[in-house]
Amino acid sequence: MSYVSFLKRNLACIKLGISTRITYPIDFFLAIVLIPICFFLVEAAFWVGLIEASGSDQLGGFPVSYYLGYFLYSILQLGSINWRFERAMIAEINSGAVNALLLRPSSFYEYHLGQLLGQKLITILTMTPVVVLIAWIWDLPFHLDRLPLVLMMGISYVILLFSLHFAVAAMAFFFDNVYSLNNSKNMIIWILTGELMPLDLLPSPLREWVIALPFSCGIYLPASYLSGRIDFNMFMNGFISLAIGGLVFGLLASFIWKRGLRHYGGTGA
Amino acid sequence: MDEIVIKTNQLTRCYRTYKKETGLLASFKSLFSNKFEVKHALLPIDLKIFKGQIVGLVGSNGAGKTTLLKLLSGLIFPTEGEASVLGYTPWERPNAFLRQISLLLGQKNQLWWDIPAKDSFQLLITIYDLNKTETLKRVDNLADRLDCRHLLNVPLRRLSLGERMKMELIGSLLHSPKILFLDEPTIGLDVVAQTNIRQFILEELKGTDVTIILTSHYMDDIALLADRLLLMSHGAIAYDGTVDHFMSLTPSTKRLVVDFTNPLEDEVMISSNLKISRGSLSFDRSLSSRELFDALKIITTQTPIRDLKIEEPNFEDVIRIFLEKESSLHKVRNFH
Repeated sequence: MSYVSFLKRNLACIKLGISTRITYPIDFFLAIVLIPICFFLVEAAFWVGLIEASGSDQLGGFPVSYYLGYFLYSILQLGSINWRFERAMIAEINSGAVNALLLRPSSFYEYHLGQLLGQKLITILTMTPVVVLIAWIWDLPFHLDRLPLVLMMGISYVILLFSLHFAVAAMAFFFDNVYSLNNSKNMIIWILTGELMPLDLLPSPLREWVIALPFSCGIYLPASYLSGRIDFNMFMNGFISLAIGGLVFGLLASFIWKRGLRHYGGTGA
Repeated sequence: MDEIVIKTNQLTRCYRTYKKETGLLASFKSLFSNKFEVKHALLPIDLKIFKGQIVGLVGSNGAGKTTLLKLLSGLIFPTEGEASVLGYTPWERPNAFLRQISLLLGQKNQLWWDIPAKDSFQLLITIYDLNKTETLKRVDNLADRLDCRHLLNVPLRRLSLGERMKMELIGSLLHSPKILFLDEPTIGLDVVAQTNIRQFILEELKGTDVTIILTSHYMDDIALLADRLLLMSHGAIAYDGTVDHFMSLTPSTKRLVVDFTNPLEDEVMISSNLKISRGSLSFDRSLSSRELFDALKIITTQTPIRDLKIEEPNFEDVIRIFLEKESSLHKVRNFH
């Protein structure tokens, strides 16, 4: 019975995430159409310019279309990693809005994770056709049959990343302001996921280490696999590092949260 | 015998805060060292609250009433001591406990800002695992009682403060809590909205099995609703009893309000330590029976009067006087 309640509760949080995401239609439309197009155009200008300036038609052994494909598919994942989301969690702890959630028979973790997944779901569903359309117009390498596995990795990565966000947000129980800590974390993730550049351009042995970390499942592995830059085995290794990383960050988040609650003064009530 | 639903034993809470001096230099200094101090928000408290009681927690700002409320609802951990609420240790917050309590914060939204209240209620139905049909019927009933059924489908952010508070009240009652913690439920509301909320609690909850712990700065809330008054001062309970008994404890004073037709030509001596200055147009003072008698005798015979009123002391005045006395006693105790 409690397991069914748990599922129902989480489903309700997912629905809440979807409904709050589409409450403001103009903002939602801009997020799923204009932002990906702008992001893609900026990346395209940069990588096309870089490869042309190098005097070669390839960089790191891949032609420009692979880079365009890589950054186009990364949009799918980026659409889900909403940075405002963790700021909202920090703000809730700072302002005491967390009080209402603490006194309901659900957890802060599942409440926010459910909403994040809901937001991801609606964003992916609506953004995928835009991405496919761009890939078709630009004639970019695209393995449609790999999309389900890529999305599965995307969802798993969101859960892992959420645990890390949650751990940092829970630091707000101890410190009045954790935004710099949060920004530092985001900067590191920006590099480690491959959002800044494909991780195979990093020098060895740093490249192997960084790819082995679970953060590579954020952008590098799914975007590379979808564009045909890496093979199946390398892609599947990502799930192993995701499982280990998920466990580590989950335990870290749980530890900081429990300690934080002991420290909490019930702000705002 | 009355059933005890809340019991505390030496429940204590301290906060560690840091002090920063003013100025830019002090800001730089604070980068390397901070002065911390421990504030005793709640001194050891032993308390028993019975099923169905409405307990009014009253005190000036920083008296410890909200800290006590937060401890009993399980929002914060104590520094020392124990508490049992419905048989549970509140700060462990097991779901079985959370299903039986509700906390309404007058200064915070607990429903979702961007969606209509009815959507929020649907979510609460799932969170509390309630029967959907019955609970939605209950929502309609409560909304009818609060005259806000027409607002159920309006996003919360579009509602006025009073309308939002009605929705919050419905949300806090959806799962039929056994204990309801109400923290300033009428704060910021206009007189009509305050009366509506007060009347609703009175008619819907008073006399039922629901135990209510109510904090409010509006003494009308307490005077009308509370069966029991807990007056808090400097982290301790300064009075625990009924409102009527509390009123009977205070010295009998009445307020004399006099408006003179013209400014007084001479100073009027009522007693050795009470006089009305020359040029006064009015007189307004709380007086003992003896002083009142003397004042009336002298004022009515010697001066031209336009209006004269004698008022019974109200609850708010008595509380204020009591808290002022407590505060000065606290200062004296600290001084010694």
